This record gives sequence, structure tokens and C-alpha cells, in this order.
Amino acid sequence: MIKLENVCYSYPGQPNLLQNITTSFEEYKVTSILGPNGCGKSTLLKVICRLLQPSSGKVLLRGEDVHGMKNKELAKQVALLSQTNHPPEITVEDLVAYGRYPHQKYGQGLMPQDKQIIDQALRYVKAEDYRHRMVNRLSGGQRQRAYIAMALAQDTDIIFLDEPTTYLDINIRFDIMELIRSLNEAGKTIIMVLHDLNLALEYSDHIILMDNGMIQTEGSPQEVIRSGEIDRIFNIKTHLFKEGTQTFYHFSKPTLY
Amino acid sequence: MNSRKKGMLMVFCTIALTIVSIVLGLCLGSTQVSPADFMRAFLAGDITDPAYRIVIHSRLPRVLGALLAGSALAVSGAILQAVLQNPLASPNIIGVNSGAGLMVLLCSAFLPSHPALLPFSAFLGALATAMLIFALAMGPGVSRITLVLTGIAMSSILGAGMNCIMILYPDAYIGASTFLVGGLSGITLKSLNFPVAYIFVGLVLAMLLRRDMNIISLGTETARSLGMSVNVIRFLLIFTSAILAGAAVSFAGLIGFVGLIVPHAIRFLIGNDNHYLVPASAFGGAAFVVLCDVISRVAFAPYEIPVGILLSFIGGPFFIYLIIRNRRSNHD
Repeated sequence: MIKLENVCYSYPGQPNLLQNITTSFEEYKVTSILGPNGCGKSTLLKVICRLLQPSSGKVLLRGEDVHGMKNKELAKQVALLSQTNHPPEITVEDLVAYGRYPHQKYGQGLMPQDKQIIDQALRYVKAEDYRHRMVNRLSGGQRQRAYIAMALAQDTDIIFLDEPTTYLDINIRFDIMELIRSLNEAGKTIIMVLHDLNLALEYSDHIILMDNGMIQTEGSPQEVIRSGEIDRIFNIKTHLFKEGTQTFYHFSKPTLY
Repeated sequence: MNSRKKGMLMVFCTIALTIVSIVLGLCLGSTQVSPADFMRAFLAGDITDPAYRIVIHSRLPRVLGALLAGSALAVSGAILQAVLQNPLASPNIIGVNSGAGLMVLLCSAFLPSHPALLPFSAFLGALATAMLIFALAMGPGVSRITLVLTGIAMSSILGAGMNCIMILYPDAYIGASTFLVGGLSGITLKSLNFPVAYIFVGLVLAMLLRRDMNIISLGTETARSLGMSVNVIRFLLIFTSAILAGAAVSFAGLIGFVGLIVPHAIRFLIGNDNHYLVPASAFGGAAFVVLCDVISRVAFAPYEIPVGILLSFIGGPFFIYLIIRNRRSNHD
């Protein structure tokens, strides 16, 4: 569905942050991009959803170069949940309504079907109870749900998420990941950058492991674990535990053992 | 009360306040004229009646000027705060007014016979300054205070330019000292002809761009991912704020702080939704400047101080308050 061909990216006058990235993202899958800080994973996400223009190479969405697409056309196919540092002082309902922006003609208000989609999105993330509250007064988990509802209202096939669980309590992290999984089961293709190895291994179909601006390995969680690349890149030791059919991972510093 | 009802109520309140301020502005001054006196003279068609003459020739132009300058500067401030994502932004603080002022003085010195050029050149000066400030003070990791500091530096450069012109061409601008602090005395209906058109266009544009202002406030990345052409919208917003600030400066001089006080007072009451913030700022700004102008006429009657001085007395402390509050919120 999304193909990257020899994508390079560098900030002006600096060495390449992304070096010859060639990969593809499959439809209806949950793909997580992992890697240490500064490895280029967020940059890669921004290049794919066109917040940054690659210095060379191509990003193809269903065969079409995203950099040739109109802003609103792209926004009808791809939604992005950025990391938000300044939550706005508007109501949840208004925030979600902005998800309809790419579908609205200039100066046009919300149509009945827009309102219906907004209601559905609020219901889906279970934010109906606080739809009239201000986004900046919400807890971290509620806020993230509101932003996910905005992405849902955008009504795209693909949703990108940039570290959706950062700063959240552990139980809320699981809630958000469950919500993301249910979106995937409802037919959305999910591509996200994650910090948390455990969550990524548990909730992803496909993992892309990056370091130094390059993809070091990719595959299913098991394949990536088996490759030993996680241990090498993060300089840690991975331990596997099996309980019934489930596999759990524990990571530790190698020097302790 | 939900935020929509609150917003609508605010807009109605500011409209009512504007009407009250117009009546006060026409009636109060160094000579009191009661509405009844004026209506009698007006209905009798007695254009030599002092009540009629004071109201129509002296106070009406002032009230109109105050309405226009107030609404233009308040909306300009609201736009700049949204597009720069900085609560400390306003046309006087980031030097946009000074840019307009320098062009007004240049125009008066070198092309004195073309009054129609004044608002246009003021607009160009405001736009150029705003774009320059935007280029200098935006970017990842630039703090909110950087914008203010850049604006102060810009204002002092432009202020030096204005003072130069005033010294080299002392006759260029009648009432130049009032121009520097901003004042409304000596305004004629004729001098408002061109600015009215600019301010009208600016206010219409601001009303049309309200949703975009809201979306750009969510942050550049989110706005882009929603399909907004962020650079185009940003330019349109800066363009609009420059039309408004430029037109106001072209006849009222460097009136400060309206663009800071008014949008913030309204934000404090109804939040940041630009759907209501923009119209409420337009009416609130209009009423605020008319009322301040009345006070500046009446407080020391028969003398009067330019309204810009009064606004600085109110606006300066308010600005310091905002800086302190902003500093606290950054530590959260």
C-alpha cells in the first residue's frame, strides 16, 4: 500500500538522517517503527506522511508519489496523530470536527453526514461523556482519545501515530493500544512510532527496527526478536517467557548477567 | 453554559457595549451635549446649532475613527496570536505598527499630495515587518520571548527611522508627536475614506479565516496532516493582520496594546474559539478605544491627552502580567 524507494533525508548542512530507506507497508496491518532516540524513526514517519520532503527517493501511496498529491487528497487517505505539546483550549467536539476539514469545501459548515461521522468517532473512542469539555483540561488518556477521534473523523484508510503512549500511565497505555488494535480490526492500516518495546512487540504485526538512519531489520515480532538486533542496537539482553500460548519479553542490561 | 452559547452571548454583549460607547462618545466631552439637544437640532435641520456642530464635525469623526482603529487593531492582534501561536504577540509589540508608522511618515514626507497612498503604504510597511519578524522568530525551539525581543529590536530600528524623518522633515506630518503615541484628535471624516475600505476588507477576511485560525492553533503538523496548506494560510493571516494594523496606524498613529488587551480579555471570558473571538474582538476593541478616547477627553478637560498614552498606561502592566503568567505556564 505504501512503498518507500531509496528515501534519504537530511536537514540542510547535516549528515543524512535517513539513508536509502527502501521498504513497504502492508494494508490492514499494524506496523511499528522502533529504534533508539535519534535513529530517525520520527523523521521517517514525517517523511512518509509528507510533513518533510525527502532529499532523494520516493514515497508511493498506492503507486502515486505523495509529494505530487494535493494536500486535501492526501489528508483524505492518511491521518496523523502528532505528539502534542500544547493542547488547545477548545472543546473535544470541536477538535473532532476539525477532522472533517479535508472533506469540507471552503467556507462550508458541517453537513448532517459530517455531524454523524463526528458522533460515531466520539462514540468509538468512548469520549461522548466529555465531548463538551476543554481539551486542555483533560487527562492524558482522555486527550489522546480525543485526538484519535479526530483522526477517525478524517475517515482515512491509514492512520499514523507518533509515539501515542508517551507520558501516559501504564494502564492507560494498554487502553490506548487496545483502542488502536480495535481500529485495525475495523479495517484501518496502522503505522506508528513507538518507544515502548513491550507494547510494540505485543501489538504489532510487523516491526521495523531502525538505527543510524537505516533499517536494521524488519519482520514479525518473533522474527525481529530472533534476529538479535534488538539486543545489539539497544545494548540489552532479551529474555523470553512462555505462558500457555503467549510469549512475554523481559529486557535487562547485559552486564547484570 | 456551553461554549457556543457563551460565545454568542459575548458577541452580543460587545455589540451592546459598542452602541453604549458610541452614545457616550458623541455626548461626552469638554462640553456636554445631551442626546435630546442633538436630536432637536438634527431634526430641525439647524446646522448652525452648536450641539449639531460639535457632534457632527468634531465628535462623530473621532468616534468613527476610534471604532475603526479599535476593531482593526484588536482583530489584528487576535490573528497574530493565532498565527504565531504566541499569546504575547500583538501589532505594537512585534513592531508591525512601527513598520506601518515609518511608511506613513515616509509617505507624508515625500509624497504629501497623495493621501490615498497613506493606508496602502502603511499596509506595506506592516506586512513587510510582520513577514520579517515571522522569518526571524519562528522555527523549532524558538521561545515565545524571542518573538517579543525581536519585535522590540525591530520597533527601535523603525522608531529611529521615524524620528529621523520627523527631524529632517518637521512639516511632513502635522501633529507628529501625537502620531508617535497614537491619538484621534483632529480626525476628519475625509481622512477616514480610504482606511474604512481597508478595514472592511480586513475584517471580512478575518471572519472568513476563523476556522483556519482554529486549526493552525492546533500546531503546524496537525494542521498539515488535516490537509491545510499551512504556508498559504499563514501568509493570508499575516496579510490580513497587516491590512488591519496598517489602516489603523495610517490615521490614528501608533496606538498600542489594543491588540493585546482586547483579545486576551475576551479569551479569558470565552476561551480561544476564533469563531467568537474574532467578532467579539472587533466589537470589543471598537468599544474599548471609544471609551478610552472619551476618558482621555474628559479626565483632564479642558485639556486632553492622546488616547494612546492612556492605552499604554493600561496596556503596559497588562503585558507584564501576561509575561509572568506565560513564564509560570512554561514551568508546568
